[in-house]
Amino acid sequence: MEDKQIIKLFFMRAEEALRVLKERYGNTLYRIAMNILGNHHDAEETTNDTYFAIWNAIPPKEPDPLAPYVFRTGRNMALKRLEYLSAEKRNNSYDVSLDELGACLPDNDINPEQAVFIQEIADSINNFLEQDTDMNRYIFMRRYWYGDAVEDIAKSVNMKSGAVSVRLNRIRTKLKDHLIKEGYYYEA
Amino acid sequence: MKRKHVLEVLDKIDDRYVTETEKAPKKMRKRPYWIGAVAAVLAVVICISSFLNTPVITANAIALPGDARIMEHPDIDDYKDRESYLVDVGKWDAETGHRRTTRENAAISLLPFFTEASSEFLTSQNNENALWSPINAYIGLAMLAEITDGDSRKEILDLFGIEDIESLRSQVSAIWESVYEDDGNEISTLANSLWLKDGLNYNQDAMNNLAYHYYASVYQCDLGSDSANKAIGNWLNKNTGGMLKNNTDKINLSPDTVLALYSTLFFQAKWGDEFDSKNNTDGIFYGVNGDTNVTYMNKKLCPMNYYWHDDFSAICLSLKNGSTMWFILPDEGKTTADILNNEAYGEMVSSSNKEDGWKNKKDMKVNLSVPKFDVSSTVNLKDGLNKMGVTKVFDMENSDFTAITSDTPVYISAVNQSARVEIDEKGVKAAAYIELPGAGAAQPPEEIIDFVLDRPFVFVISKGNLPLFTGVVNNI
Repeated sequence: MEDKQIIKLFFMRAEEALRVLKERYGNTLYRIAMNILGNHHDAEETTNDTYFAIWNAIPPKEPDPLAPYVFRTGRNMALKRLEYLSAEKRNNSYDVSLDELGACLPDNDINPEQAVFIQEIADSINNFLEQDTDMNRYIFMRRYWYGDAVEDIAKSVNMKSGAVSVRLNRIRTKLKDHLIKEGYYYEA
Repeated sequence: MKRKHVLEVLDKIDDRYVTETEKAPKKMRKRPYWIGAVAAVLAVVICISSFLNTPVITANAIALPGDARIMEHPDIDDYKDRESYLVDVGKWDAETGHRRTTRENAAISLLPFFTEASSEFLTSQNNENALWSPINAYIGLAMLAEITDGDSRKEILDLFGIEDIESLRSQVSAIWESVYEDDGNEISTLANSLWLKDGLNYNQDAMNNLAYHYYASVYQCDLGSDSANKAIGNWLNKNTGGMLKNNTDKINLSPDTVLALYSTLFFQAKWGDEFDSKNNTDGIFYGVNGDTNVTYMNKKLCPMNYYWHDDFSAICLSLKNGSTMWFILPDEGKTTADILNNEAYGEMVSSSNKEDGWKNKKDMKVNLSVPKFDVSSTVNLKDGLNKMGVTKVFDMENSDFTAITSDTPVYISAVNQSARVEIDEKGVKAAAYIELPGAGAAQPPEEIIDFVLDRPFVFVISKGNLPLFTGVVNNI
């Protein structure tokens, strides 16, 4: 079913919308939640919460395209739950991927206009991704946005895990060079 | 940057990239290559439940096939007047057309068998290379139908979706004649033989039917003896260009074998457009059992049809004898088993030469990279045939070989097929034999595409719409 038809079902308040949404995006939503939370129970609940949140948001919202909206909602719900959960659950595999990426992004603690700075870095990364190859962009997004394990990414592109790790390393180095060139890095 | 801020940055990543990550991109591919040779042997060993005590003798020919009943195109120099020449050309046209139509219809009716059996036999080999010859197995099993009766025969006819033995005979003859070709260079030959134990009573009419309709040779000798094993090995080597010598040298039938049926297919053809070895490159093949260094044969910007489906993409290379070799590459995240378990690839291969054939194809410029390979395998067809409903011939209590002999009980102990396919810059060479022993997606967006076979793939060598060989290359 086309995304437009799914939206139409939401507007009609037809429960069929939830079934189709689950069928179309359920696996990815669960994967995102599982990557972030590292726990089946929490991932399952977050996924269900996400369906409910989307049911409440559409209408009036009419997201186009639908997919990134659904995934963003799911990701944010998972991150919120992660924040809520106790401290000992931290340092899961998702945090490891955040630290990997964080290490190649400039530290903005001293910047007074934090929100502007975040937006600028994001824009710069978007430009960087635009110029990179489809494969690198895919690997970057799977690892850092979706929080997928290196092994799973490797499987999906028929590569060895080692090859994906090496590629991620190169992407991060390139990204850091790119940010330096754009003037966001001011190392001592 | 701290995690919290990394998360904020990630939240602002463009929607486009979030969406496109739903599907893995096509891997970057290198340049192309092509095929060499293929051979297959199907062997059926038929045994009897008690020993026959007969003296050792060399094989006696009981029935031998005549020359292929293929009409040569009339040569105008042989005719005194134009009228009679044209009459014979008309006859030639009609016969050739009839044979082609019979073959094409046979291929369509046999498609379910070919697809189901390919899935059954090729995906049961774990992570190893596997190949088989559907047409070789078909001819071998058709001969088995000829020498059986009752339910034993009916199960085989049902497997092929054929009503009666007469229809099977004419279909086999048409297929045999349309596949047969041997000018010393381009070779595509099927050969069949039946070996009887000395002392076995047989029905001469059945032997004559085998010789006529199946172009089969029938011999009688002391099956199970060294001399008989050697005689069979020699016959197989002769009919498979020696390609399967490693297997045929090991022929060792047990003394209680009463019938052995062998069907062979030997195929050798040059590429329509050969690869230039100067363009070869060394590269990695990402095999199931690990990465290996292989030689890739390459073609750049080669105009050809590019085929696609939800689960795979494919290209098809022509051979000089009018046959074709298909290379089918599973999409990212899909395996060769996914391809073989889906009948779509069979439909693509069998319908591509028709005007209303495969819809998802586009004429493109392809940067092709094909690894040189030489793969072989021996597949036991018995379990798969059982699953597909052929059980009686293997069952000592219920098998029915009365069409050929009244000696009972006779049953089949094994059905093995050995096959080998070799490809290089010049072309393809292949052989197969079957032994039946009896004991007693998305449209490509651009005009240029890279097609690199650097990971497990499926191939099909076909003549017209008939699949001669189908294989999975998991490792090189």
